[in-house]
Amino acid sequence: MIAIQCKNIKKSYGSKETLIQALKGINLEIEQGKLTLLVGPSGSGKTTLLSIIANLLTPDEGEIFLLDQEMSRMPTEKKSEFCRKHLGVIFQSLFLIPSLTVAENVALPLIIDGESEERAKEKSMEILNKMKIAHRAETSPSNLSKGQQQRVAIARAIINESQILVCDEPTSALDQVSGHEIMTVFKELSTSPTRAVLIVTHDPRTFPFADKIIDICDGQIISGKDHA
Amino acid sequence: MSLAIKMLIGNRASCIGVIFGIFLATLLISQQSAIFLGLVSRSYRLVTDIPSPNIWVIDPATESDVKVRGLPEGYLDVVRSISNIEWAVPINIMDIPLVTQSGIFDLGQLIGIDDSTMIGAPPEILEGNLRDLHREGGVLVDVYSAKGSLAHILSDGTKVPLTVGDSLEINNHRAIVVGICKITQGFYPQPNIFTTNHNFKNFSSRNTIDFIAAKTKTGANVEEVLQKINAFSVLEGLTRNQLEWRMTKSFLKTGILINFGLSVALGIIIGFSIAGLIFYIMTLENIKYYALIKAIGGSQDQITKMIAVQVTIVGVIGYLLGTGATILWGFATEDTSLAFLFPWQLFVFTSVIVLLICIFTAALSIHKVARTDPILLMGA
Repeated sequence: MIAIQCKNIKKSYGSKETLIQALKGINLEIEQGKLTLLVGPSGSGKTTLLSIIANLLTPDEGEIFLLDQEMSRMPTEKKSEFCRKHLGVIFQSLFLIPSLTVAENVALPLIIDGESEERAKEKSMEILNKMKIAHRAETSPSNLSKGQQQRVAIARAIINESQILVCDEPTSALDQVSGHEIMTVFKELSTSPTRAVLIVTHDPRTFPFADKIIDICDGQIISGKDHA
Repeated sequence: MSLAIKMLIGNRASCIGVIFGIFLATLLISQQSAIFLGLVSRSYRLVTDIPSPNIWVIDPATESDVKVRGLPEGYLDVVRSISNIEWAVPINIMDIPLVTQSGIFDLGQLIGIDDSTMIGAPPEILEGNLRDLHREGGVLVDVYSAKGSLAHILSDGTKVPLTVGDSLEINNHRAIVVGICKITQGFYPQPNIFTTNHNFKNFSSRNTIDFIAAKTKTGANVEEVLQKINAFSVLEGLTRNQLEWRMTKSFLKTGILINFGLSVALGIIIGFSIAGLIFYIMTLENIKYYALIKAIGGSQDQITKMIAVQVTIVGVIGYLLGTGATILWGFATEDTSLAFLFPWQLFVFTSVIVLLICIFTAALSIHKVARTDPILLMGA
């Protein structure tokens, strides 16, 4: 099933003389059960596209469908609810809240969704167990290594059993071993037939994990092929 | 809610800074106001220390116990003759020179009370007997000056409080201390000497009456009685509250309201600036986390509630600490020459100011967060 579908997405910044067309009519489809990489050089528009998919930006033109629902015409409240229930975003800087424990950071989306703190924490422990980091649940995220922090951010993104997981440059700050471990986690997550994983990256170390690699350059998709 | 609290206390320095700002504002506002109200209440202590009369009769030019125009003595009988007046007694008051046994000069306030009824006597006699005031030259001295400015100073410099049996020189007349009393202190730190009107005349060589304290008969219409008094152009009849307010107005002419008002205004400015600024900085430090909450589907309402909870917590803690410190100050200054009055209205006033500071503080931060676009998370 198609989890993410972009139809003729256009996005510009600035006006008149300073106008920059970041996306020039993007058409793409991301399937469930696959790990898709969106690759391209700096300034190619990949982060803009990811932001639009993550509902952080609105496209100037075009339509975006997440799980068959058209997002740009969806009312804000419904869109927020959709994001809480179906979308997991992992930012490049992770943004783990230092005043909360690891378990509380992971439980954050459920607490925001109105889940009781007790239940949210229980669920976060389950996820942390799966991520093999439960032993650090009560510590502050600032006491963790970069790789462990990345795992916490992933746990936070999947705690609501999101069917769409988008991630911005997950391996950029990781060494070879940690990068490999994190990509293995993403690979495992993408094997779920109901989940699509989209990763924006320019790190060639991630390519072997991909089911599909989409090349973007100068705001346009150059190629989108299944990866052997 | 716990998320808001954790984000608040996670930023310990800022949290303490905001609490300190609100504490300081509350302390300045409540303590300075309490001192001011204490001083104001001293300005009409003549009325509060003599609770039995419900009407006071004065010359229309009289403003307070320090700015008095005397009435001719005959007007006492005029007041007594007005229907529905149960009793009326003269109360005299004047500043008069004193010399202690040690030869120390001071300017005291001499208060003459009614010889027969003793109305006007101080509320609490600590030593001696009130009836002894009928002795020739008999006076009561307030305990603060008995231990302070009127105390004997021995050759080695030690102070021995004035006591019953000691003598004073009042306006070149010998006076005998027959008692020590406790009274509400006045604005000026001067000795307060009570005596009978008979002795008062001897000390002062005056034949006028400064105040006539009167009581209406039970069930009488006080307004009607006052109208009858005011029919005499040289008399002005006032209720207790009216005389208190007149004395307060006279006292406020000193400019003291402006001075204390500035202190209170400073407290308010400190509250708005320190609390508002530090909390705003704290919000800026957390802005990416608020953006994150938005990005993962949190609503502006949820974030507004979080900020409201945080501001309420620091506001309540700061307010309680500030008010607590003021109350402690009040206890510490009890029975000293320092003025302090903390009525419930001051609690309300301080609460309203702190509430306004908190609303301003929260509004600044909520406005900032509302304008924050979660796209900033992608820019890192």
